[in-house]
Amino acid sequence: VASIIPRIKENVRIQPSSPVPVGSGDFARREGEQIENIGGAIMNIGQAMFKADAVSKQSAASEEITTLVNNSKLIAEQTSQSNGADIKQKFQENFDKNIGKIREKYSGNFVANKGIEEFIQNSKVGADDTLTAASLKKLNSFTIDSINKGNESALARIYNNPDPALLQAEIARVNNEVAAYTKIEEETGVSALSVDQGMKLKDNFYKGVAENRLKGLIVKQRFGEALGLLGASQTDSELFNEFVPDQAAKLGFITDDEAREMSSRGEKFKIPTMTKKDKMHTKLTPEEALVMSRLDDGTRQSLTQQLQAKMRERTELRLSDLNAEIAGFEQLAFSPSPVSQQQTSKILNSIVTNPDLPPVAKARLANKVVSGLAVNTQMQQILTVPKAEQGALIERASQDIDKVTKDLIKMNPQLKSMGKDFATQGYTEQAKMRLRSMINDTNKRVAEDPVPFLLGSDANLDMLKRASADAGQTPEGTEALKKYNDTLLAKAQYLGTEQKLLPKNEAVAYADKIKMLPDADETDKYITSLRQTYGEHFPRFMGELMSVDKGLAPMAALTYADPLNSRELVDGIKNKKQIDAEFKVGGKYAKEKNIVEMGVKQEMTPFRRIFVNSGTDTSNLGMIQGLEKAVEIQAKRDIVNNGKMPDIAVKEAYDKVIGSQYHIVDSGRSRVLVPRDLGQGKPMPNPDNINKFIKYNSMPEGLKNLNVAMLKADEKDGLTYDQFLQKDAALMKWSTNATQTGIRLMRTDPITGADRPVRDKFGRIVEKSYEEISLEVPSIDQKNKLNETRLKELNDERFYKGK
Amino acid sequence: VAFPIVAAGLMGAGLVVRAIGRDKANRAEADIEVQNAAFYREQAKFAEDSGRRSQLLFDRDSVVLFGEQQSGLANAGVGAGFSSQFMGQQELYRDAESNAIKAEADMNVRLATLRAGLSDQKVNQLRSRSGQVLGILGDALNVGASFAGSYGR
Repeated sequence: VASIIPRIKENVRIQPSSPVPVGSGDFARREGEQIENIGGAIMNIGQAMFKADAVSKQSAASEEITTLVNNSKLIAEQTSQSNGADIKQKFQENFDKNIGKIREKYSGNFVANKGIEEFIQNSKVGADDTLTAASLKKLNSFTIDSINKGNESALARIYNNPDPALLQAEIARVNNEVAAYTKIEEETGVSALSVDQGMKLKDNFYKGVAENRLKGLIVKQRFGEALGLLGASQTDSELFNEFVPDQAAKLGFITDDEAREMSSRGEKFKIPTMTKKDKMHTKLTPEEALVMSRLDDGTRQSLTQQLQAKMRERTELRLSDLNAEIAGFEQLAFSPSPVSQQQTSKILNSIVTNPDLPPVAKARLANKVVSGLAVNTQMQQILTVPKAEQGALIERASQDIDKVTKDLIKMNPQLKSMGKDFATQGYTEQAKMRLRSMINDTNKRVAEDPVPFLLGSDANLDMLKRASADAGQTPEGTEALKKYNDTLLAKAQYLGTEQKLLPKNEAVAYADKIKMLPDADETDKYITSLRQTYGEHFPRFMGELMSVDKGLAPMAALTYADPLNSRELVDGIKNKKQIDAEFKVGGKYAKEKNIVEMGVKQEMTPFRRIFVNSGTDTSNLGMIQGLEKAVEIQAKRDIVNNGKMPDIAVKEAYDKVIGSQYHIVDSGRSRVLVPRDLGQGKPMPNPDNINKFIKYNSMPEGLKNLNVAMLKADEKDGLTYDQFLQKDAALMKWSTNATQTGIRLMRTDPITGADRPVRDKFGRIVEKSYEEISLEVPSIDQKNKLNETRLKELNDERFYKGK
Repeated sequence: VAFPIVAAGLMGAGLVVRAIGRDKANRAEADIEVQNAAFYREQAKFAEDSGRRSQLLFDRDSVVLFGEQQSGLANAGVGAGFSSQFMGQQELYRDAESNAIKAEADMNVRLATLRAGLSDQKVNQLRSRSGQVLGILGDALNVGASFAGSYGR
């Protein structure tokens, strides 16, 4: 059957045959397009010329702008108010006045102008930092000046009127002033007046007060009181202040008749008090004139000279003796080791029986010893608890002090013999004050150099340090050092002191050693060994070296860069002087100097903006400047050694120091630094995912998921949680955390501009590690897919700029 | 003469030459497309005619084949029941094939007509004044964009 039934090819028939064109459009266009290409080439030539013009204009303009910025800075510094408050305004005024001319001069090429405008902005950002520093400097000297002036006029007042009440008021004023500045410094970290400066002013003031009070008393002829203050004996006082009538008559102060009359009444002759310092030499009161007129010239002169000489001699002698004695007693009373009862008794005896000390001075010293002893025992205990808990202990110790001092008085009967003098000194109050000031002093000392304190207060730490030193540079030694460092940092964190690895003197010694090493090879070898020894603590270690020696600032690069690049970086830093010389006027690369420095600024801008968030935030400036310098040196080194083009050298140097190690993720308001590698066994951070995470979690919805805590003020204002999130989302941003292992949510205070970590409803700081983020992003993607409107918002950059 | 003026002059001149070149290219292409449109229409007409003719030929051939099949079945001594069932099926196949030929022809006509329409449209576009202006504007914008691109960071 099959052979007689032919098949029909249905499937073949279905295929349509394609209609074809008669001619090719492309072919027809060819001639026209060739002409079009010629036109394009001509345009390219124009474009290239335009670009060349832009480059030459930008370079000329940048020099003029740099000069203008520098001149404006100088003028601003010179013409601003003495406290430096309007320094930025002055800068801006002069800058604005002249920038128009430069803009006009280089107008006509919009590309050039775009570059120039960018350079203007960058120059202003650069100027801002130095202006902030200049204004702080001015404010500093203004503050010191005004305190000095205040002290001068106070001294003048005391000099004219040696009234104890006035004296005390002025001393209190100075103490308050210094305390206020110290407080400002402690709270803000801005050094309006350093503690040292404050202490110096206070000391000078006291010295001035002491001298002027004496002068004032002498001038007023209140010799007795003056001598009393100096610890002179009663006889001295009588000699210069009071006279039996016979003596007075002999000296010619009074007539014989008057002397007889006085004797009969049982009175003594007193030298009348003068009220103004110059009355002795110029105008006299009627009574004074009466007395002085009865003296012959010789007697008057000799009396005056005698008095003055005697006073001078006693002043110098007694002041220095007294100071030495007081210092000696104070040292004993406040030495770090507790003073035994026996010692205390001995000290108190020597004070009470001292023949030269006036009673008031004795009581004062005895008080210091008693309060000091009471304080000493409490202090040892207080300093070994975290700062946050110190307040409560101080409070309790203050209550105990009353009892302790009373016990001490009971045990030392000699104190009772001082009677009222001792009691009026208010030993308990003094002890409390002393306690607070000693705790503060010690805390201040610890803040300056915490490690020695920690080592002294913890035997375990001391042991660990010794163990690591004994093991030396062996694997065991490195491990022991790590253990010591970890324990040290943990202890510092527990006590609330600054976390440091090295005592100041050791940091200085390391810094000196690095600088003394003869060449790059030695230096690199040494730094590599330190990097191995300190391991994960190496960046902190280098940071401490840089903080004691600004000259090491470019070494900051070593803590960021790939260790493989270390040798080159060190070579550049070590040969900085020779390299820089090539770029100075007359050097081979003088022309390239500006290009390199500008290029480095531009290249570093995104990195810099991660750390310098606002014009007032100068805390990271040193580190950034160090890194910038390092990149600059590397670029210059490449130009000098390898003949690289400046722009390429700058880019490669940036990569060497930062680019090869870090991504910079810029999500509008939030800019974060992301290590390219988190270490073995951890996922490689993906910048796109981090960007996505930041964007989603900067929106009200994301913040809500993070359980961000509502501000108390907003709660009081009656805002709902959603309203609060809507309002504050614009103030929230993410920053790299301190260990660069993740990011932390920050809120910018709209008034001060300062960034503070945000906490969640459970009081925890909102922080996400890069690892966590890699796990969370898929769910964010899912959420985004569900809502297209949100997706649109995500792509709308303006939403995140907070404006 | 100042550097930027020369640059701007060159760019202006380049822009004009480009515009002229493009205009020439557009005109040439438009001329070709006019011819294409005409030829596409011819092809549509041809597809229609040839389709009709193929269908006619098939129908004629299949009638002959049908007869051959029927006599073949009879000569082979196949039973009438099976024979009528088989032939009924063959008839259905023939109708389907004939319809397919017609569909193919229709498709070819439609395709050629569509392409002719597209060519017409292209001619209109190429000859349109506003299209030319937009092209020049695009060029000018591209120049601006390339500046911005080379400097923007």
